[in-house]
Amino acid sequence: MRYENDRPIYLQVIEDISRRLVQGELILGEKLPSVRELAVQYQINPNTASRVYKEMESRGLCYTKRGMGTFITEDSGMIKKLQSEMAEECLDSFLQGMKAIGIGLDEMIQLLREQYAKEDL
Amino acid sequence: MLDCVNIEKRYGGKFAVNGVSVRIEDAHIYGLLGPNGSGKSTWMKMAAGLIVPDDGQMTLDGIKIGAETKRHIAYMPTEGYFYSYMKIKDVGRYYQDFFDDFDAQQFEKLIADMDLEMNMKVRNLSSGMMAKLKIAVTLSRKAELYLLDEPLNGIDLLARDEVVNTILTNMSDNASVVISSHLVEELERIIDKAIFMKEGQIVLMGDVEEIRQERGESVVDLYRQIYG
Amino acid sequence: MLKLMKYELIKQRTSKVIIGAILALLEVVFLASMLLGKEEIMAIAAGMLAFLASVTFVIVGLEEIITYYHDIRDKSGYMLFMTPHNVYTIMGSKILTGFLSIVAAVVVFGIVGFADVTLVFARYGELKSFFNWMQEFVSINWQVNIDVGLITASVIQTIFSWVGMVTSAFLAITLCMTIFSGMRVKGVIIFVIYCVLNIAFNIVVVQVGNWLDISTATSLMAYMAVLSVVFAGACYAATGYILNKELSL
Repeated sequence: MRYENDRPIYLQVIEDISRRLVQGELILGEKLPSVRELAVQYQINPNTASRVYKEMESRGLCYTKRGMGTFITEDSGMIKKLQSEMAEECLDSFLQGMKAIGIGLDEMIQLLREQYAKEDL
Repeated sequence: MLDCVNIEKRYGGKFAVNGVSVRIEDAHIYGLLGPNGSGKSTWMKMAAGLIVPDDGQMTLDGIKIGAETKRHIAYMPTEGYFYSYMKIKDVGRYYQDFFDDFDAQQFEKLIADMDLEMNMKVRNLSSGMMAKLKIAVTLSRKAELYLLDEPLNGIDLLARDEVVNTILTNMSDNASVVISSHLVEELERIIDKAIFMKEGQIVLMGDVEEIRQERGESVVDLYRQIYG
Repeated sequence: MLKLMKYELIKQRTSKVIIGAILALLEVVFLASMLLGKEEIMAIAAGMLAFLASVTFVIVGLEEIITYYHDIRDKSGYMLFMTPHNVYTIMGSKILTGFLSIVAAVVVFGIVGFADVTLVFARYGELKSFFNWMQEFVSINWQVNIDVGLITASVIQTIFSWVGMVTSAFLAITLCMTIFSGMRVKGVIIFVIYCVLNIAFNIVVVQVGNWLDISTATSLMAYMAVLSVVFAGACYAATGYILNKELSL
């Protein structure tokens, strides 16, 4: 995974894990790797890795069972929440980009439909 | 935990290390950064007991740097340093003879992982192979403190990831690691603390993720600002 | 300590191997020529064996000294000084290895020499009588009894004086590479310091010797041996002290 070194790495790892969760690569309740394993997997410092889980836990994305490890939340509502958060970010940058080149809402919607059809999503 | 209070070292009239005070804590990986001549190697050698400071105190867990601390510190110099009459297996044997924390099995594994062979002679190793051997032998020690002076030097681009991973996977739990390197970008994701040295002194020290969070800068960016 | 000595021996194996090989070769030539009655060759071989014995001290000593020089100067010195030992133990291992090497050499050459001499005396009876005559001559004229006691004392004296020379060389190298490290022509400086140390030592030996008024040759040898040990001890202590304060690889 490529990192942007001017943003906190632990946040970028959380983004990646969130993406994998939303895409179904990780499932609800799945056991996550240990801090050490996570560090090796993402090739990051172990302290950064533990920061990842700490932050994820405070956001409700995972929980730690003593002596057993860290697990993805079982709350499916969380996935929905993540999805809409990620969607909001994409939209945000889309809208900003469109605004910068001076395209208004109606034209934006039409271009969106056309592009969608072309890209065969 | 390595404690350093006002360490000084002079050569001729000039200060190589000029009043360095720092605490290296457990379970962190420090990047020791700065251009040539900033004092990084000299500081490391003093922590390793190979150079005696002119002034100041250096202790590991309260014990003054000396024969006892060498037991718990694994130092890797920039240069090749093995006896040229040795084969790779002799180097392993030497380390096993002197260091209780040396894991011979791990050494075998690392040598194999790095495409080296036990019967190769040290004098026949290319600089890349020498660099790998140094890493293999140093990281096969389960030390409390690792001091790696330019571990990525002489290692080609593709192998560098391998070396960084080796450091991550093989260092003992709770150990501290101090890595000095010119290749700042390669270190970005592995270090969690950065120490910047200039002309024998520490000019800045900080938590790397905090630097990113608060300044919106990478370690490379900060490096350019300090030395540019 | 033993591990250190093991590796010192490995580092200094070349001289021993070569001397051993030449010794074996010369001995074979000596014995063969004696058996075949080729007395000229036998005499040459005998002479060369004697020469080899004296040269052994120099060669083994040189290898000790040069090895230490490399340990202080080259990057391979990291291997040695990185080990969890203090400088006194490290230097001690060097001195012990050298001492044991020299003792081993003395024993080997002693046995070979004694065997060869016994064989020669057995075969050439007139040489034995000549030797006995010489022994008496020296005894009457110079009151020196060439007996086992004197030979033993001389050998011991030679061994310890060798240790003294090697440790003073260690000190000279150490001084030059630490305190005088800024200067050029290090080789010259090392040599000068070495000479100064040994000349000073010899002056002390003579002065104290006069004051003590030693009578017999054997006690003279004993006295010089003791002083050599003291000298070696002082050089060793000084070397350790300086390394502790000034080591800089």
